[in-house]
Amino acid sequence: MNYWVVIGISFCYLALLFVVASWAERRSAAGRSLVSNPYIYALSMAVYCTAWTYYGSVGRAASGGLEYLAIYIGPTLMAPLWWVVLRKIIRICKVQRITTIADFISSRYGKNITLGSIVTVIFVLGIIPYISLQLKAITSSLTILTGRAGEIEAFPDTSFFIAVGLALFIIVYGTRHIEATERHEGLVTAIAFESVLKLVVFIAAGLFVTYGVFNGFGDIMQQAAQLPDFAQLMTFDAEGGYGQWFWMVVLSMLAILLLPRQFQVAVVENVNEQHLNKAMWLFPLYLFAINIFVLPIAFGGDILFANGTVDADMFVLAIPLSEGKSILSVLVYLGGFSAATSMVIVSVMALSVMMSNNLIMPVLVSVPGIKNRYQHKLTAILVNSRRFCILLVLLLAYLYYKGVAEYYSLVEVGLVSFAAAAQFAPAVIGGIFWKEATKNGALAGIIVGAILWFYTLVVPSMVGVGMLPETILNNGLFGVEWLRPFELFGMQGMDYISHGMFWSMFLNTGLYIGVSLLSRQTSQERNQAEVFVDIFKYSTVYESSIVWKGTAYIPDIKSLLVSFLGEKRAETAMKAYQRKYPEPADESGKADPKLVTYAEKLLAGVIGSSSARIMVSSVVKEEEISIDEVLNILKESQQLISINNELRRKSMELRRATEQLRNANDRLKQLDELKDEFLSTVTHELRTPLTSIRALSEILYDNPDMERDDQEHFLHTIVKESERLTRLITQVLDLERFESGKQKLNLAPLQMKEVIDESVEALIQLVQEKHIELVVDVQQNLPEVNGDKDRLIQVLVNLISNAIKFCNPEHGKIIVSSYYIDGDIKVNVADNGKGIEPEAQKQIFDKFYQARNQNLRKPEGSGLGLAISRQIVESHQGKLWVESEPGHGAKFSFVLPVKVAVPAAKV
Amino acid sequence: MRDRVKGRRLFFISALFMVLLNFPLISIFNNGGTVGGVPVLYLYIMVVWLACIAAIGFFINKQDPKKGKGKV
Repeated sequence: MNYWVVIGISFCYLALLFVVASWAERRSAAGRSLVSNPYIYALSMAVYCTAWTYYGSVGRAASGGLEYLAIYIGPTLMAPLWWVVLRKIIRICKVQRITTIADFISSRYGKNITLGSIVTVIFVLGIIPYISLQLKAITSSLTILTGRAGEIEAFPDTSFFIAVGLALFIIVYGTRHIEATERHEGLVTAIAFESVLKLVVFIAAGLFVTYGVFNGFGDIMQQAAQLPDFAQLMTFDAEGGYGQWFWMVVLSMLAILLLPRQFQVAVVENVNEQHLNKAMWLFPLYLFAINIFVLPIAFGGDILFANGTVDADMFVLAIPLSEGKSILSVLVYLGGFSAATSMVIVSVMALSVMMSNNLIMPVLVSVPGIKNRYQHKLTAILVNSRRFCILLVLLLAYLYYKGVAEYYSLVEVGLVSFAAAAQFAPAVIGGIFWKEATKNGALAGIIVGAILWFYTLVVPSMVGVGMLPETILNNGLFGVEWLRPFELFGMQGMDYISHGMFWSMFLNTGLYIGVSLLSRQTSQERNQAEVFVDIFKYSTVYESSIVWKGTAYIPDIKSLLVSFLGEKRAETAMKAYQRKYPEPADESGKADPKLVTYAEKLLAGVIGSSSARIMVSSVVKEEEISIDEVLNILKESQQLISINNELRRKSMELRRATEQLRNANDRLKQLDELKDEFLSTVTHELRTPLTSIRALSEILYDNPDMERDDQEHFLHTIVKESERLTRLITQVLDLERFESGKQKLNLAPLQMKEVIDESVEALIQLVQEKHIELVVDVQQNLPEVNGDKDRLIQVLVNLISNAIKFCNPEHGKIIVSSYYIDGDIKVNVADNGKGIEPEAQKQIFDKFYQARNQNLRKPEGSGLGLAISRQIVESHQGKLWVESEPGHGAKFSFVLPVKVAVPAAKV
Repeated sequence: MRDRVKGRRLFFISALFMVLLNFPLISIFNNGGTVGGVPVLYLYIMVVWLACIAAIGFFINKQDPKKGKGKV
């Protein structure tokens, strides 16, 4: 393929990244941020998959077998621990405005400049090979695609221009904001986009190789089984294979946490801690998906290019190319390009911030001459120093690629970088869980670990390209046998990665713990240790958890903020502070210690924590403070927090109790109203018959000569009204007794049939008078129920007389039925009247419902019958209800539980 | 408190699969055999790996506060 076409495509792709990034930044400016989304977060973490994964895994699988998987198993095993480890780191960095892993380590150990700069130097040394391997991958894929393999390019070559293009992108999108805590939304979106692209294209290539070139997975495996080294590739070497596998898993577990680019996307660019929930399983799933086709492609390449003319690292590109699929080949090239560029972009950005904050700024701010002269240009210097670092890192990576990386495979170079990052594991993980760890411990561990890393892993690679004499490998440094880099102190039987990892991690961790136990912390170190380890306690009251004593003046602090944040942002920051701590300012203009801490935190977000410390201490007068003082003050603030929590809990309880009281009060009021209403209805009901009795008696009294017939008629009415009165009073008393629970039931075993028969007997006269058809249908041999016979008859008489009242006046029909169902005896009384409206079906069981709604029905009866019936049934542990459709009659039913006979009956 | 329990359970998943995917358990499958043409060790690693992801995903979804509230 034409060289210039491919170059054009590559730069078009870079332009596309610019478009995606600008689009995302515009969206975020418009308040519709794409990045506050767990999927983007998980995808941006996939920056882990670089050209190493894309090209190198296939190469590693073809030459080393299954061990390539360890690099992806490790992060999967680490992912569940993110909830404990990464969430804590995220919280610490949010609270203290930490933006790089070097800053993190130096902050934890007392904001120490030495530590920060050493960490930075090791990271730069360790990561540059990794960046250079991306350049190597881009260049190799380019030469394969354009058919220029083997040609030697003169300087400036393609990879140089690609490095320049990338530097431009990072400068534009990575140094946009002076504050490094600002999220780079455009950049993260571009990374997420690249993650999608490389996954999709790699899977497409895998599908093509597996199903296009071969006949599926099984076919490749079958053919691969004929390869001479198949069995060896598909098993672990029993000698050192397991150890190597274990160390690779551990190495990648640490790398996923500590590599600067992972720290950048996972911690600095994190929007919401809860996004970890999705990332914890989505990210491992991504790794799994991108690895599905690695083995088929590796074996496919081995089978197709049996003569070994093609570098195994480039199989994924070479196979589609050799099959003549040019579009797929270009896509595969772009996928690899995206994998490489995403890593370069994020790593270089993270390294540039690390270098400017830990190497350049401390020098600028700690030399008074420079500081005073350039105080007002410091922000410009800062941004430009970052840009300079970006160019420098890429240049170093390019030189490393030209000098060393060209001679090694992608994975070999990458593993060395992983091992460099792993050297910070004790200091970081120990730092967030172990308060007693000291700066000296961290320093000793990191320095010795790094030296061993350099000696066992980097020196051999320098020997390999001829920069150092080969005698070092064979005879040891200065001819001392036990200093051989691959067999340090005579240790044998391990591959070089396991060997290097063992020695460096063993001495690193050992010194870290040992020196920490033997050395003492300064008060500031102790303060930071407390805050780091107990961050979840302090994160809401951070300003008061940093103990500071001295004299500072508000104008000094303000001018410090202005010179780094600018007039406007400094103003906003001061306002935000006053909102959080609205205490009145001291009249003499002295600043509260909280304000000093707050300002230092803001500065840390711009120039790094150790430089911020220097800046702040240069404008204030500080007093020495002892560790005991720090611990005491922290304890007090801790007690304050717990008292606050206690208070909050108490007031919650109080609120809950008040709520309950209010509810009880409301209920009482309601009952009171009901009682009033009941009383007034009862008196009203009593007055009606009384009035008529009195009126009739007065007529009789005033007219002694009244006709006998009339007299009898009047007296008859008086007797009937008196009966009604008596009945009403009896019912009210009944109801009251049932409601208050005083009513005793005379329980005895009885047959429902008898109850029904007796009730019907009592009403048969009325039924015949009204020409109503009455059907009684009772199941044979009903079991006995325990009940009060008289009361049950009362219920049935009430229901049947209601039915008589309301059934169809011309062709009245009433069905009384009873049967056994599900442990209950059910009794139905159905009529064919006009039925009951649905909304009235509940109310008819209320006291005096009928009385209160006399316009609806004829005022026959007291209106207490159904209320009493329900009370009676319920006091038998039964249930009474009505089913009705307006126009189709009503059916009143009740059930009574059958008391199970004594078990002896079963025998 | 809830976070702490969640952390502990996730830690258990990590430790469990760390053991499942390392020596000596892995040596059981390191015999060079094949199942349907697929090397048994490769198959074992991939299946356990997927199971690990599934375990994390299942656990996280079970712990999801939104869903948790729905059940109460």
